[in-house]
Amino acid sequence: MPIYDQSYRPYRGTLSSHSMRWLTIARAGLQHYLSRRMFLIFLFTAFIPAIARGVIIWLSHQTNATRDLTSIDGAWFRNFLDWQGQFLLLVCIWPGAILIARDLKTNAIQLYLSKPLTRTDYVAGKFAILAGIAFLLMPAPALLLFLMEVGLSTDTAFISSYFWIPFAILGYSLVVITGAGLLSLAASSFTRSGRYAGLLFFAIVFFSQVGGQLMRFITGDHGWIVLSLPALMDQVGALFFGGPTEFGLHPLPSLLMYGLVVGLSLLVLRRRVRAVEIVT
Amino acid sequence: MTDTAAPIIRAEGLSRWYKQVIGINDVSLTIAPGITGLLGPNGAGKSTFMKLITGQIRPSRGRCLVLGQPVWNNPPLMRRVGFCPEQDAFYSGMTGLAWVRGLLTLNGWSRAAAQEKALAALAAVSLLEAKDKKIGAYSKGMRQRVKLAQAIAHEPELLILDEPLGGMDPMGRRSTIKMIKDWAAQGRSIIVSSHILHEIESMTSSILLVNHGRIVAEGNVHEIRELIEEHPHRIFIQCDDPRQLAGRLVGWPVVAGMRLDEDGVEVQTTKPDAFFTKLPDVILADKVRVTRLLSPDDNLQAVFDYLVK
Repeated sequence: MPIYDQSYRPYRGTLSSHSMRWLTIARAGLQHYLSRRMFLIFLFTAFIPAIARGVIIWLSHQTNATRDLTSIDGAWFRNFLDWQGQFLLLVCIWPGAILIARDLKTNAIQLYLSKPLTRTDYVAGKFAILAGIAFLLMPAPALLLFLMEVGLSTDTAFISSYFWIPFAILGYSLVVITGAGLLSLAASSFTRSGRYAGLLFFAIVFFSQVGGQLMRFITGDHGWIVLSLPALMDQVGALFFGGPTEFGLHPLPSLLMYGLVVGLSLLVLRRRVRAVEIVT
Repeated sequence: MTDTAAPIIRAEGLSRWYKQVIGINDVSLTIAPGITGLLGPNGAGKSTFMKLITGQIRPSRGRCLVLGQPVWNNPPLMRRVGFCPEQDAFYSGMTGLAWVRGLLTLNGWSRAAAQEKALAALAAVSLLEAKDKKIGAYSKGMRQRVKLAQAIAHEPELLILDEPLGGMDPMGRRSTIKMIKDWAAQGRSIIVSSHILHEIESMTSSILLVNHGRIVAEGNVHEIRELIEEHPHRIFIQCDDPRQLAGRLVGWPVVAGMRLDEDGVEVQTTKPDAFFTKLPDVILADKVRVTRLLSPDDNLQAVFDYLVK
């Protein structure tokens, strides 16, 4: 009678590739939040401005009288994205700021890092949760509004004049979401309390605004406004959509400042995202 | 270690410090396949060592090979390693099944396969009935078991278990010890830390003693005992004529001390093996009736006490 080998044999089947492992974290996170009623209410609220603008587009195509309601152009879309940026700010506070803080609090981070996952995968997964939600808030409705306008237009004048708008929407959204998202995650990695992390993120944005305005007032030099993160985003928006900025500054200092914010956030994440270390 | 099989862990000058605090200090060792117990008091460096061998933290100095590969920044290696941390490490709002399944997908399993594997792992730790309960509602022992489930779910070659029996009831401990021994019997390797020494003793005789960030001793309990000759080994011989037996033993060069009791003799020897070899001859020659032979030192607690003092 043959006696078969009973000893341990490792699994030799197919496993998903490592390069997409961050997607597992992102998918689980998005599923988690999209199944929560509170979050769905928030999402619906964030869609109200898009619905309102959709109504405006529809009305503007109904009669000659309503056609002059508003001028739908690049500035109109940028204004919409700026408005949606307020919701992005809220998302960065909740759930953005708790994404890493919660893992630090529950020690889950040490399990993540004991799996076939790098710290970069982990951060990418967490960032993708935030970016996925932000995509629903900013570029997705903006692109839908653009398509609606194109669809309702009876001629090609709009599309030929404003074909660049979808690229501007995506580019501007990418820049804003990346900067705000990484800053939010960096704040989240600073503390084990999601509440404090949210406060920290809000404080950074608020005091950057106060600091930038204060320095501009004291020195009389508009260049200091780049210290203000909201003003910085205004400058970046002007790069994508054209048009004047509030202070008419050259874009280079703003881009450098943006790079600094992103770089510092990544540095913080690199230093802070690590297994729990118990020192006695 | 005397085992000639390829080591599962090889550390060379491994050190890790946290600013002024030393976690692990210049550790060089090899760990052979099988079950190895990691023992040491709190703050000895056990958890730091486990984090180093699971690639969670980078060594400040030295290097560490796990299953023949460098462990730091080597995520594919982690598919072959299962880790059960000492602390709770989960989201209390998730169900046990969702948590284990989620971690399996991080190992690269498809959702369907992960579901199947998660159920099997939960069954192995007797948590199948509670699989749909939120982890926050689990008892301490159940939380410990669900951590074990995620460690074994992907069928690793090497299991690293940090205080796996903490908080378990006696039945849970017993079944977990049995499970650990069964895994080892299948050819897997296990490194288990605990400060409950009799539990380690029931799993393995191969141990590493850690204190102040250093490996104090490694090997078989008996080998370690031989290393500490300055602490004589105690042997209690229960017999019908202790005085007669004591008279014969007192002249032996391997006997370092002796204490006479009403029902026996307690001998202290620096060469237990030599003593045990010679003892039957004396017993037979003098016709002493020995009813019991005890070695109070022959347990991990005694070795541990000697070495960490």
